[in-house]
Amino acid sequence: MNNGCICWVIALASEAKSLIKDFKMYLMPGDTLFPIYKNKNENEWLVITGVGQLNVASGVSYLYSLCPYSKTSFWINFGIAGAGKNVGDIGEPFLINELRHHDFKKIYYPFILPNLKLKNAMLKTYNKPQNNYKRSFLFDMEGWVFYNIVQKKITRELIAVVKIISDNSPETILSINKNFINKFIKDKIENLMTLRDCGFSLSDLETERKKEHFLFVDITEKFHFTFSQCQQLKNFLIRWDVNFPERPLFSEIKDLNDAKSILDYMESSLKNHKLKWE
Amino acid sequence: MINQIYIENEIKDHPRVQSILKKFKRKTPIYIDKYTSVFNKKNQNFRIQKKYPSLILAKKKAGYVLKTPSDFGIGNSNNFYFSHMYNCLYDCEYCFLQGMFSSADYVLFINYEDFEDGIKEKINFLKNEKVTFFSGYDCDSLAFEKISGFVSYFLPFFKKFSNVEIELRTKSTQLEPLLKMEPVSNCIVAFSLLPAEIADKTDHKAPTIKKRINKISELASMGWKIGLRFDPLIHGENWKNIYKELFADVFKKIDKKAIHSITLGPLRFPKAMFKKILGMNPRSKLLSDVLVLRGNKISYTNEIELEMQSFCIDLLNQHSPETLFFSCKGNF
Repeated sequence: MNNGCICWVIALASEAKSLIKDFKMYLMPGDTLFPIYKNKNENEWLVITGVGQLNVASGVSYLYSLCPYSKTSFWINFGIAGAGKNVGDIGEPFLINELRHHDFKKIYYPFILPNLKLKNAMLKTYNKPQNNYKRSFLFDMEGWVFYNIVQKKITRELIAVVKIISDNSPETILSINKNFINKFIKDKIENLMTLRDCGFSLSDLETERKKEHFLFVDITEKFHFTFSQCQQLKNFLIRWDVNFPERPLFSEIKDLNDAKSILDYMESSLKNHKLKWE
Repeated sequence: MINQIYIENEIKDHPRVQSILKKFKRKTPIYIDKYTSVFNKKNQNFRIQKKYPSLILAKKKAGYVLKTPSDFGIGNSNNFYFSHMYNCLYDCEYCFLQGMFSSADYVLFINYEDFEDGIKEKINFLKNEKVTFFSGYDCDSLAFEKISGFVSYFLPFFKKFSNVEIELRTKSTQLEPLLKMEPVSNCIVAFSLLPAEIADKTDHKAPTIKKRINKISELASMGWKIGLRFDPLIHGENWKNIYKELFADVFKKIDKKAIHSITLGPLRFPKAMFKKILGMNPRSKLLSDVLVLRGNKISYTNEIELEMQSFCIDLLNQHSPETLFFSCKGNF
């Protein structure tokens, strides 16, 4: 079973509409700072942040605090972007491989996910809408800020920015409206499926790596463990699984009465065990 | 399989870069200012990158040749290492690289000429003294040869200096450049070996021990000097028998006259890196064994270490008494 989770960060409701429908997400009830959607299994979350850097920064932080799996989720900033005339056609999706900001020198190079049928391109984030279509890259008002915040919280391999070209000339910008955005995103959802699968699988890997042993809570609820004893217990539990896959621990420690006895018992068993390589 | 190629702007027109790019015609490179803007950043995940590594072509700016740790050597008193590359194609559970870098991308420094100048400088400074240069400290010397052309470039260079030895440390069986040329008398091709039962579980993506031994045998019969590196020595149930079998196999297939030196080294991790390595690979069998803190390293207990060392030396002496033995304690 896949234990991965995806967090979508999207500026506009019209950009999110098709995803919400196709991925069967529903609006979280209650008074939330931003509209938050999630699916029934709670392994796919979506925040609609509003346009601009402040909004995306706040929206990311809000979803991060709300989603219980945020630290091991795969984070995607998805939305529309302007582009130079020669970069691509209207409706063409791009996986961003270089992120720049108009005001900051820092450049980010997001991890390139393998085997995606998405073209790569550079994205530059500005404070204001742009209409210079002579450029050789995509431009938006959120991408760099999204990455800048998320990379401080989680591993960089779990972050992606995907943009669809909405305008590449002064004429095309005039045709952007809710229905237009919704329609061409709907047409491109298929392109996001492989990215989504890949995201789930990487997030699953990270969840597995970071997950607490299933006995940890049971044992520490029953007996008092100090902080350092907890660390020792976590380490011993994993080593126990690796070294004694066919020896259920619980039955062996059921008669022990405190943290020290449990740790001593596990330590001595592990110490006396010799690894079997054959 | 290379996921993406990054190239430092400064070297984008370098002929070696152009020649490497021809081997990846379907990749569109990304040009960057410094390799450090992609490599070894905070919050990178070595394990995920290891699944999908990228290649970064860069120019090394300083520190071309460095002194080895005090106990690292094969007989000469002057020992240096140089790293034309960071990271390795293989994925061995005991490798310190996974703790040293947060990135598993391959960084290939293409300014070989600058390394050459750095090496020449050391050789000139230590005129008439015996010097050994080690490559394969931060990477595998041969595994990336088809792309890097490292050995093909450096062996003719080292051949010119009779007071100098070059050790190429490898697990690779892609030995084309060596098989195509005459043996170079001051070059030692050193192979890392451990019992097959252990290597099957720890040396991911690396050639099997059987393949390694067969290739060593081939090189030895051509006249190449061979280094056998039983480093690290790995403990476990039945370890004496499996090491006994390994040594028997090695000496049955490899001409003893070709063996230049044998090195034994204990399993050890720098203390500062061990936590990171364990965090990346918590379910590793090797790392779940009883390892203790000794000084600034994490290793087996002194008792186990000494027992393994002395058992292996005795056994190796029986097989090849005339061979030079060296022990690497692994002081960091």
